[in-house]
Amino acid sequence: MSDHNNIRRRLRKIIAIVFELEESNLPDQPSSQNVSGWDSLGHIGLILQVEDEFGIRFETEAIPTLFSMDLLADEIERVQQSQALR
Amino acid sequence: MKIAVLSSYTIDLIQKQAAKYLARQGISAEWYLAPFNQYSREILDPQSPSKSFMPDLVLISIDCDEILHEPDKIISLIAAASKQYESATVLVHNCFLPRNQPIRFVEWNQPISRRYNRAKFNCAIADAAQKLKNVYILDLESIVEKFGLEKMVDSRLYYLAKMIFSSFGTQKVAEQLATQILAVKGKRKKCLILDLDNTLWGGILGEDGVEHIQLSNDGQGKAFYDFQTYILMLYQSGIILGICSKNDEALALEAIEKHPYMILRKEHFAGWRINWLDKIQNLRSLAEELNIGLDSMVFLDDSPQERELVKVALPEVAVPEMPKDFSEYPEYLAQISYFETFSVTAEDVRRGEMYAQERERTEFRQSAGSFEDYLQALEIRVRVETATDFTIPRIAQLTQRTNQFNLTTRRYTESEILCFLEKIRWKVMGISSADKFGDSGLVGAALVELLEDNVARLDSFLMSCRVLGRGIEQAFLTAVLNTAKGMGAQVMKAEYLPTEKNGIARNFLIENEFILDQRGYFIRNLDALFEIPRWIKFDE
Repeated sequence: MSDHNNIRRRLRKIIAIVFELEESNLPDQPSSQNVSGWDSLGHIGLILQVEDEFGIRFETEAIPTLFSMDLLADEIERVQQSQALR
Repeated sequence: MKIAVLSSYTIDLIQKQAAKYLARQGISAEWYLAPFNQYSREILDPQSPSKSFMPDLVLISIDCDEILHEPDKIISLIAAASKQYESATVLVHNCFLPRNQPIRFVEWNQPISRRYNRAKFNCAIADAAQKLKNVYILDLESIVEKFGLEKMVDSRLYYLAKMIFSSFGTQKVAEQLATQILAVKGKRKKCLILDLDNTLWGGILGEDGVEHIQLSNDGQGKAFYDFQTYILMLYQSGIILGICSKNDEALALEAIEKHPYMILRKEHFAGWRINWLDKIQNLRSLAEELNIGLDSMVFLDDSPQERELVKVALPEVAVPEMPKDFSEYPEYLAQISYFETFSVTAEDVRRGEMYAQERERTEFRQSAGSFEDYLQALEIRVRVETATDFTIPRIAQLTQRTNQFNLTTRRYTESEILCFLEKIRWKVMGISSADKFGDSGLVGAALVELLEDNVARLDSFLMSCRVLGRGIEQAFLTAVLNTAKGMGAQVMKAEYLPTEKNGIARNFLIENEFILDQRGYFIRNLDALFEIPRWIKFDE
């Protein structure tokens, strides 16, 4: 479970940096609905940053579904697990 | 600096990265990103938004997959862009991406082959760039060749967002783009200062001896030989070379002159500090001797301690990291971008030689009698003429690089100079000079605009510092004032825009009887012009 929280903590940092916001000003549940700059283009920038940071690669199909921190965090865990199995 | 981007794919991330890179170099650019895929309209419609934006640089980036088979269409667009944005620099990227054909073994056997058509396409746009004055290529092909297609592109992003490059590729393309933008701005460094031990050769000269340093035309020593060959190419493109090394001077100069595999000899160096003083002091005094700013210098040294020292004490000097392994030295020079330029002028090619002549002049002056005897004996000849295709690049370069003897320090690109030339009320002039020690090439430029009511405005007047103090600047001013008279002016109104470095140009105006008026212009009546100094001859 600490892994789970750890991912979220790192994600908040990345989201704040990519969209040039103060981390403390981010909503509790950041998503494309409530973070300014998180549009479709900003999303790609965020995805690339997350991939660099976590050393993972999302699948094409998944990318357009990950429009919130929670969805991103779940997908990161899923990818990490499947990479660990390989 | 205004930059317009016309693109057929999503280029926003590249633009953002490039803007960041430019900001780090002290350039804040204003950008216009044309709506997706509107490039034809932007180029062809004289009223398009990118026209009213009045860009200094236009980047045309078209996904090559879309146009590979119609080079003619793109060539005519490039030609139109060259005309439509005539005072801008037009940057077009070439094509790098032939996704492989399904049946690769017949790739080159078929006229529809992607690789074959890419080669043809890239040649065709290179031909266009060679013909059109303001068109240059952003060489994506060579970037992708260097880093590899797989690292550079990300097919997921292509199908999701019509982006071409991966995160890594975006970084590399943005760097290249920013570097080329800096070259347009004429932000090229002038001077490369080199360390000796483990930089120009391997080993420690004082310990190993001349015959044991690593420098050869094969084996490990060849890395240093090749490195020197690359530095020689920089020298031949106009970079001034100097040495700053902790060494015994006599021993080091002997190695430089006598070692059979030294490429760089004494004649290539404009100056050196080979001693045991600290490098900060030495770099300062070299800058003074060569009469260039510390901010035009790049310092190469294998020692991280020396680099750190210089970086901290002289932040103006560019101090790039050096590879740890000397085998990477030769290739390394191609990656530090301080010396990129868009045009190498005739003066550039001979600059090093001219610095050597300058040393000879100094020696000659010491043997001549009075200063005027010396000037007489120099046999100075000058030629003043309206800018031509041959001199425009050098004139633009002088406006970009001259900081001291320069009234307004207005920086102009080649295309802008070309525009002035086409205006009836404008004159763009250059002066070349030569003497018994050699040809100094084009050393000064002036831009004059005839205003209403018989007043001419001196928009720019500048001279290379190398030739000052021999009466050449007076000769040029007289010629320029005469030309203004010929255009119908009775009064010359000179502008002086002060900077930290150009006080010398203001003094020159006052010495030549320009009078400061209430509005800050320097005014001179054109009735009584000075004579040209006796020791100067005008060539027709």
